[in-house]
Amino acid sequence: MNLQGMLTTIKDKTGIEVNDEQKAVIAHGDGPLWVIAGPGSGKSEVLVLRTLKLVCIDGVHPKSIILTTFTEKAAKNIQDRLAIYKNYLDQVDENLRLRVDLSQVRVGTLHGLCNGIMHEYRYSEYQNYRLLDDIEQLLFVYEQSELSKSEQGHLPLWQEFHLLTERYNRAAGTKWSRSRNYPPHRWIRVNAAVTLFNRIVEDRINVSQMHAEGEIWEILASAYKKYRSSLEEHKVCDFAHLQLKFLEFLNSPSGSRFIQGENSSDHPGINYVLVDEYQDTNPIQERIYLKLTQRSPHNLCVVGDDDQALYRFRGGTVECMVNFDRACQSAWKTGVVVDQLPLSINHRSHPKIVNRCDNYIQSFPVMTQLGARVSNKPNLSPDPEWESSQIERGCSIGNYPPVSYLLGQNYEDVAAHFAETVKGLLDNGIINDLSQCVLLLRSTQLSLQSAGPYQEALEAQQFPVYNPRSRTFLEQPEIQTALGTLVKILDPNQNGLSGVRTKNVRETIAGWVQHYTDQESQYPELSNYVEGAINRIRQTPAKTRVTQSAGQNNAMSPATIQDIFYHMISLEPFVTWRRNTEQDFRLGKLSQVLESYCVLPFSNSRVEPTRGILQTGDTDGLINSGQLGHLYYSLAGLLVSKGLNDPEDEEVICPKGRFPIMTVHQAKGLEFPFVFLPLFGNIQKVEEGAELQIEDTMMPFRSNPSSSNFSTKERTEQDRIRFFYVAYSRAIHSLVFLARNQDVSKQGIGFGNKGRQWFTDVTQRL
Amino acid sequence: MSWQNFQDLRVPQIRDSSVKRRYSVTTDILAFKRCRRQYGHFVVRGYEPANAVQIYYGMLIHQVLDRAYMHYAGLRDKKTKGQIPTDKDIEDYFEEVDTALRIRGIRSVRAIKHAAEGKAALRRLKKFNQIEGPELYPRIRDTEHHLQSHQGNYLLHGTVDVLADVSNWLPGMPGEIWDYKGGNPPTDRYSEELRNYKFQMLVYAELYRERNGVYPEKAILYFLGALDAVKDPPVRPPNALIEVPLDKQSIQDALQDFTNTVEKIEDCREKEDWPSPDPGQEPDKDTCNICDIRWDCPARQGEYQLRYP
Repeated sequence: MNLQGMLTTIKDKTGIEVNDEQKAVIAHGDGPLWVIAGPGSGKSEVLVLRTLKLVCIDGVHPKSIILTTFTEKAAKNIQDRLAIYKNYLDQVDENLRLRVDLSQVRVGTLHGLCNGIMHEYRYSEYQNYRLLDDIEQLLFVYEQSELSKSEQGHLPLWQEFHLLTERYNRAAGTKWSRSRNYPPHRWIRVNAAVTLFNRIVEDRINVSQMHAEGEIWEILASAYKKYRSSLEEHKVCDFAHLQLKFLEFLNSPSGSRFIQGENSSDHPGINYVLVDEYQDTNPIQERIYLKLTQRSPHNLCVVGDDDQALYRFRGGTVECMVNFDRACQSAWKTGVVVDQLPLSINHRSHPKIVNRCDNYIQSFPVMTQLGARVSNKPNLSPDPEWESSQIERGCSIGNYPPVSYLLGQNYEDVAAHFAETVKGLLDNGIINDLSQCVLLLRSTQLSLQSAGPYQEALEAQQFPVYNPRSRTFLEQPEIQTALGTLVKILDPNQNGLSGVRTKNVRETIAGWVQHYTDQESQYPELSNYVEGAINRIRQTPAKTRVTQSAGQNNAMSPATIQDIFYHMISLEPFVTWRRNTEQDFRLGKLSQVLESYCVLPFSNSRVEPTRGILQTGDTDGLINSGQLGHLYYSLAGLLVSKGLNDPEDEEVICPKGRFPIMTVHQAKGLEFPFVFLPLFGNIQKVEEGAELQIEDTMMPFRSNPSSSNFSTKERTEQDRIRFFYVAYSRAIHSLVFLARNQDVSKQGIGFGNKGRQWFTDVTQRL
Repeated sequence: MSWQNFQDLRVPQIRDSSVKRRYSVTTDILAFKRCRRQYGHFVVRGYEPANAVQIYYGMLIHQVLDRAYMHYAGLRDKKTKGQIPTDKDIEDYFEEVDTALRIRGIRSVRAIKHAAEGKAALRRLKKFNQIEGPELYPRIRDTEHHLQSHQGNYLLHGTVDVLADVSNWLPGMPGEIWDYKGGNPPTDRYSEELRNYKFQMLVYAELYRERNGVYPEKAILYFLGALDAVKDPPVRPPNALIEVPLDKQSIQDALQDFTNTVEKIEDCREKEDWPSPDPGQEPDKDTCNICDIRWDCPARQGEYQLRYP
């Protein structure tokens, strides 16, 4: 089979036809390849087909190909498509069936692949490490890092990174600013320390050089070194260090075996690396990709769109995409040629949306300067066949406004108008399901200027909403009652609570207990259990482990926080709550949080090796005050300051029958027939500065300093422009802005307030 | 009305972009067969088990045996290539894994009371290494070998402990698949437990065939517990190794069983209900004894009295 035969087979079976640009990428031979792919240009499809071509036509060993995606869901989707297409090809070419096993292609997120490959090669520096998720990393830093302690000597560090620390004020319920002469609240310090530690790793900071700089840099470098030692000592690893360890693995003998191969089908080495969403790559990831493809002819294919870079806050730097050619030349020397191929035809959106997006991004002076975008980038073009392709998919495309806006007097009024419009679309068969729409926001929390009014307005229309990232997990009755029951058992009179100095944490915990109290008269089984549990602890002498009441074989097992959780949820009202799927998932998530809390080590073994095991203190029958303090400060403090999200459905983007409310980041890579985008209040206010402040101040210590010569202000503006570009380009048929009357300038509605009304001439008021 | 601006537009339901579900032979299928209620809670709804002891021994046994093979293959240290690990080496590997698991919190404090079992595990590992190592290690092609296959609407996958060449192997010949079991061999050859183990190997055999074009030559279940049943056995006790016959019909039956189980799981997902086992279908008592949600399990009503705290 040749390439044309392969593409014809796929077209016959699926109707998917590739254009010339796409074909050029699929057919590309060896050497580094830089694919500049605009929104809706079919880049994932091209990656699938290129992989298929490498394996089925070129005979490349599937295990020698790495394909990285931004999410696990995207990885699974690519694996599925590879399997489906391979099945079609098998029907045409019998030989392929046995010759090629596409399931061996290494498809995944970079984190997932790092983890899997180091396990596969039994990398001793990673074996049996617990990979910490975001919450566990916070708990670990809280417990282990000296930056979490209140040290007056650290004040200059927090003042230097004040934009970062001030960001967590609201969550911590404080008003710290750099003019204060004391360090910020502990949970602010912990959150800020986690960000700084992650950036040190992701930006490939030379820690020794930083240390030698003295003053605040010495504090930070020293704290980071100790943090890294703690991670090793306790055999845990965060996501940033997962990448660092992988890079170290690649430089080890096992890593060399992995990259070079051993002439066997089980270890063929790495021949091709394909990277999706390269615009959000950070410096350590760039290093990993360059290392993986160090062997000539350096088959590294990166696909992305610099205009859609969104993840600076996670260390992503658009410079990796913009300067890919220079990075290759610098890494591999010897005049390596980097081929640049565009994917510039947008097959997703209505041509008017495409044209407006393209005009928008190019209209800003700050985007047209050299180095802001990939050089020689072609314009984004609409698909001339867009309408006919939509009709083939069963759409009916009449005369309607692809870009429009909807006004109201105030937030609530706009929201009501929006929900009525959605109702009209659904009732009149314009859409068939609420999940065909999306409301995009910067934050989906339920405040007045974020998702609050919209969610309320949709619910008033009896529309179920899907908004798992509204951070309302802790407000749910099953969660509050579970936590309240736990506190009631461990600290029956909440004596330990008076020592909690942070008001919102103290009040939140009291609120949990109140939830339990409200239930106790209605549910005697639960109150009996609580009474029995309290009595059991009361019978435990001082400085002794609490044990379970006798069970099988009269075994006296130590009692843990998790045991209490599982005991309580076997009783009403939890049994009823667990019959509700959403509530059951939430309780499942709470069990994960409790497990994380329980299994992470104390900074010393003064109480127990793990925190979950209950022990009395100096007084008979009372839980150790240190353990209670931890529970209040560490666990409750984390939950309150972090505000957890609901568990998300890992299989679907949005469940059918529900209206999705998403952040623009969540919507990355997705598309919706109707996109509603509020253009007021916080949506336009970017959290300016924190990421760039870190980036700029740490730049002198980077192993490979960035070549960007834009000022902080310019990069802030560029990031904001890109953010809205991503939002606009999610729309297939219609992009509807939402605004208050006062947000509309004389020139119409648009981005910003400096005369940049990019949608003025095409927007229509609804 | 705003929507009227769009009355000439009709957008049918967007295509289903959900991904195929992944089903593992052990984590999904065997777990669901064991108890659908437990599966629903811990696998689907994300409950985190409080008691990690049950995975501790499995991880310990597999990791020590893996290190023993790596030792022989010179993959940990080139100097040991071709050398069968000594008892001391096995002790060191045991210690290394045990320490790592304990630091990680996998060996909970409850495991301490099982110290005697830990010693037994070490004896078994040493014995395995002495009796099987010299003949098996040279034949091993890969360990922890991952296999998967797309089956219509879902993806089936599993991990084979050992992929080995047959004795007197020649290029092109199919190999052997091995699965280590840390416990004792089942005394009842018709037991549910043994049936499930065999089912697992039959499915692996099919996955092997899909990758290699032929079924493996042998599928072997190895019960390390048999090595500890008599004192210091000089050779392999006959009941330590069970070879699972790989006839086409049995494999097809196993696959059908797999598909049926997937359908049952999908049905539970659809109904959003993970009921307790039907009467007579309850899992063995050992499974329930360490199940965190046993307290209100309808299948064990009244058998487990709630404990305090």
